[in-house]
Amino acid sequence: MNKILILVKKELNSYFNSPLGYIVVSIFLLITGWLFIQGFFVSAQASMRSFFGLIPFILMFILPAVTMSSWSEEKRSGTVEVLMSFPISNFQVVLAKFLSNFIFLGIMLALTLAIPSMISNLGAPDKGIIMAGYLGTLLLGASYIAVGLWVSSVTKNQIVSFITTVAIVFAFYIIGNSFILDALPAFIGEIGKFLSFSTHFNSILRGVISLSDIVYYISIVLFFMFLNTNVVSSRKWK
Amino acid sequence: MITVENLTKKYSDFVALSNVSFQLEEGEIVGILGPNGAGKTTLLRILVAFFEFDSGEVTIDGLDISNPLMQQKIKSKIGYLPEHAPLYDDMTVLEYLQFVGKMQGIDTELDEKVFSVIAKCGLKEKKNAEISTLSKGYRQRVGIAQALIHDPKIVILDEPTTGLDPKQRIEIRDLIKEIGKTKTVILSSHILPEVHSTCSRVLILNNGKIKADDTPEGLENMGQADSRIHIELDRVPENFVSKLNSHEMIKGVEVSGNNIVVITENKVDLRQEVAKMIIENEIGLLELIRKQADLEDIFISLTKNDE
Repeated sequence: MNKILILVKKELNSYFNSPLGYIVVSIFLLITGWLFIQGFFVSAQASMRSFFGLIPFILMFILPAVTMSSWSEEKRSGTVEVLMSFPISNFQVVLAKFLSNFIFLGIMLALTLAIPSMISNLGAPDKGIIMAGYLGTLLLGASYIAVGLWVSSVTKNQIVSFITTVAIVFAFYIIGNSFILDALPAFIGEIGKFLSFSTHFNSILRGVISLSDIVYYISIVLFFMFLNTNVVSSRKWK
Repeated sequence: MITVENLTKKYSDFVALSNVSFQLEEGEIVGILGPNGAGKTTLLRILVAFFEFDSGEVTIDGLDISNPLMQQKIKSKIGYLPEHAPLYDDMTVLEYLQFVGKMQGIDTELDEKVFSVIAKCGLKEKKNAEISTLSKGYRQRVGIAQALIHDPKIVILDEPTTGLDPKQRIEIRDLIKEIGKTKTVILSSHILPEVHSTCSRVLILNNGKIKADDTPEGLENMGQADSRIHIELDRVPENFVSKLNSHEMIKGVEVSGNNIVVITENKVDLRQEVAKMIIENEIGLLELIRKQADLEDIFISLTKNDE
């Protein structure tokens, strides 16, 4: 356990020792802040609905940019060989990489808390809905990260890793869209709806936090972490 | 310490190692020598449990490496420097070694241990330098320091001196000899003098097979290569060359200008006889020297003609 924390600390340090971490966080805050404020005074509602409407798409590009180097850079530079020579299991390393990226997401989201605190001063937003929105965003982001880390473990090339992750995450998001579902046979449509990131995210956004949504996201994360561990154990990344 | 029996490793159709067997005792410095692509790195990666293998048995300090439950225990007994000394470039030397120390499970006296390897590997001046700014020689030292920090019984170094200048190479070589006084060291190289001056034992690997396993001196006496007598004369008459050629112990004669090279079996010494022939033919002798096959010739003869 202790070794996982040491690795998490090292990973987080490497984000914030380089400009990358600051650039990603700044761009994220700039885009989310701008897009939210733009419509906020026009609609004149003390709600974060538009914020949570946009965030799945913003994170769709921000998080793959964070995860793209996690494994591919270790493989390209060969440090993965040193990492794997430490007395630590493959799954522990995968878990550490996931946790460090998840904490990074947490830091980014914590910095957006300025928005709800501003709204609270201007009106009386439904705090429960906002809290549910943040929980949903964390769960959705965790799934993006798990997909991104798995893709990163398959390739040595960061650009390939970025684009593939965006594509997979996008596909998972839109299969729950009614526009797509209507075109599919009912049975497949149900599966698509169940598997989609958006169905569960929207259900949480409504303020209904059901166990099945939480279990869904945790299963997605564990499934991609399992794939990730398999790729890392097989060492077939020549 | 390390036992390898009938080890075979394939990459789909390509056989990287085939039926490799050897045993290493505690305190040996072993050089694994072979041309590029001979299977050196594959073998070392198997020994550090980084790669799995197809058949055979590998035990390290009595523990079976193919048993996943043993791998973490085995890993903590080994210090490993992969090829090209991969390091985290954004860390300083000190940060990196502290990180590795913690990952190796050192929880008491971490700082003492870090400073001790820093001193041992000559990194004192560079301890606060960012790794990306280090020269190749210093990177290699950081990599070796990383392999030593948890005081492992076995140290495995993959091409520790490749890409270094001669001065750096000598420094790293001395460092390896120093490490070898207390630990089992396995290093791979394709540079022969390297292995000759550092190792107590040499394994020659070619196309995934062990071609020779001996001390450097033992290898030089293997006699598979030729011995040559280099002669410089004031003139080279035709009939003298044909006389040399007709000698039953001489395998061949090469003439270029006034220089002749007489080739014999490695253990044969014909200096006296050749000198006598020169004088009998009233030719002026300027120089005569015998060169026995060195490790390099043996190496070439062992690794050629082998598909």
